[in-house]
Amino acid sequence: MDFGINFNGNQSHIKIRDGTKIAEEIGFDYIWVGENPQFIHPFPIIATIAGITSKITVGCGIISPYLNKCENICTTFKMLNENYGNRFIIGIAPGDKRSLKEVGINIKEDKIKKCISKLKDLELTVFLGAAGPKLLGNTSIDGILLNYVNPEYVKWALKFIKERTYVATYSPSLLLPDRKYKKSLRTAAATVAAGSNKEFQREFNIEDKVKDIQHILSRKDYGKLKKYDSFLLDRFTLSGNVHEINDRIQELRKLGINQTIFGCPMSNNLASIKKLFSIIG
Amino acid sequence: MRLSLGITTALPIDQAINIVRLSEENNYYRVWVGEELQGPDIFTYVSILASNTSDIGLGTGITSLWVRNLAVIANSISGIQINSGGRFTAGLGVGGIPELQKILGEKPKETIARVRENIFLLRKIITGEKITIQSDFNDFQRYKLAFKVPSLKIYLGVRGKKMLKLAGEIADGVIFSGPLKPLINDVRIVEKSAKKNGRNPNEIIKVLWNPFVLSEKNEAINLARDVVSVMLGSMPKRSNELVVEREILDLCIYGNKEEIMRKISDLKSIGFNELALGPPYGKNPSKVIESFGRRNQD
Repeated sequence: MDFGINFNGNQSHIKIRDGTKIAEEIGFDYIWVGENPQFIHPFPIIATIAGITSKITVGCGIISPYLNKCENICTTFKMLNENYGNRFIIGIAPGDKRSLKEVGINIKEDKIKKCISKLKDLELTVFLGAAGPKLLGNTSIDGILLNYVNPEYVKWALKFIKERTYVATYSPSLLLPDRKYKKSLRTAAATVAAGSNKEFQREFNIEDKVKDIQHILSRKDYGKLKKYDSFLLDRFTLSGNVHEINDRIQELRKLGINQTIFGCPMSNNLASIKKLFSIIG
Repeated sequence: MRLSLGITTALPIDQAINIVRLSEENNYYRVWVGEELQGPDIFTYVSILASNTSDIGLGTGITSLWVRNLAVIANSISGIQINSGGRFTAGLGVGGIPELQKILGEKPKETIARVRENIFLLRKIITGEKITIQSDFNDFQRYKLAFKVPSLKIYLGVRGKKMLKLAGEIADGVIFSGPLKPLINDVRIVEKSAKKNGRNPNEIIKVLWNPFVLSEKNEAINLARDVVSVMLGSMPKRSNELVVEREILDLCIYGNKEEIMRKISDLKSIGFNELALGPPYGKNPSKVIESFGRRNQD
């Protein structure tokens, strides 16, 4: 199994620089940089990471063609591959609807397929961030970034993948206990739950909970998420002590998952990354 | 007079890295990067240059406010400013109309109003304000950056009387380009507008970015002629032969070193603070950059 670690543009420049160097040194296979309109754009971050790493694969995960012109995604990754070696991956997905709405973008026409086609024409490596049956059925990609990490949810999602492809689970992660970042973990999990697919919600009978979580997020009243603590952490995060995380990874391995990506806020705590990787790596 | 370098994203990034490093070694003030709309993403391009240098200033000169969501412009320029350690200047504007027309399918409309609103919003966003607006150009609902941005200057690269007046009103600097004689008047428009809006015109940095050719006179004219011909290429079917001496003289900074130094002195007296040496520089660009670096000047 490969291992990836996620950094986002709301983290400090120093944390990202030091963290990515450590990730490469200790043997992570992938670095993933996420996108959110409120964060530093992933392109300047990836350009910086490219300059301070030499081997590790660096992915943009995810990047939205609704927020970015597909042409800019194409030229960016072509330029990175040409200049820093062929080790850059595009993780494409529509993006979080709520965040996109804040900047005036409503997801209407299907831009995903068109953009994948343009990227593949340039022989770029494309992973698709997918959570629902429709996107999971896409066959013209090199891999899937699955926003689920709960084995029950993963099994459900895997049913919709038509052709066997490389699958990575990508979820908010944290080595616990961690007083400083537990709130961030909970909010990140809530964001994943709130953006989850309707069919998925029906399948697992979590529609009411998700609706309430969406309401809480829209009011930015994050303290109220505490009442869903165990639900959010159990179902939507890779968190716990080293052994609990390791057990979960072994379960995912059995399901045929090819990569575990430790999503934010894990990368804020460099010591925990080292500790965890010394066991699982 | 600050001496800077001008390149565009049409230059392959590996060559750009070399030329920018050389400029840094020779104490150039900054490198302006012009955006070829069909070329590489300018923010990634400038970010790569930032990660390959340590001191030289960097700027987009310019990128269009028409081809990206304003949030992407905001979080990209902020990211470059942070990652470069505060060396970045955002040069923004409308962009080349024919190129934009190809991308947008129509001429950009309401240019003054859009530039005004977007610069106003960008300043708010990068200083950490929460934005809510629903206008003809933007639709933001409680949008706010989740990180702090160091102070970031915004320059405008614009043409036309109304746009220049706007630049005098709201820009930290103005990037001028084009035949010199009309530019003298353009500088005055910016200064007058600045005064009218209660600003000190001297605090607005005026950058001239024109083709630059350092060479012995005959060679210089030939090189300059080719470049001017390309610049005038937006006028259909214009051939090299039709590029008259007067146009070359007016659009290019060219000649041997002494002649160029005299021209730079003239430009300073017009009110320019910074000269961006635009391509082709000369027969051997590296030597030109070296010989015009501040290290080699009086």
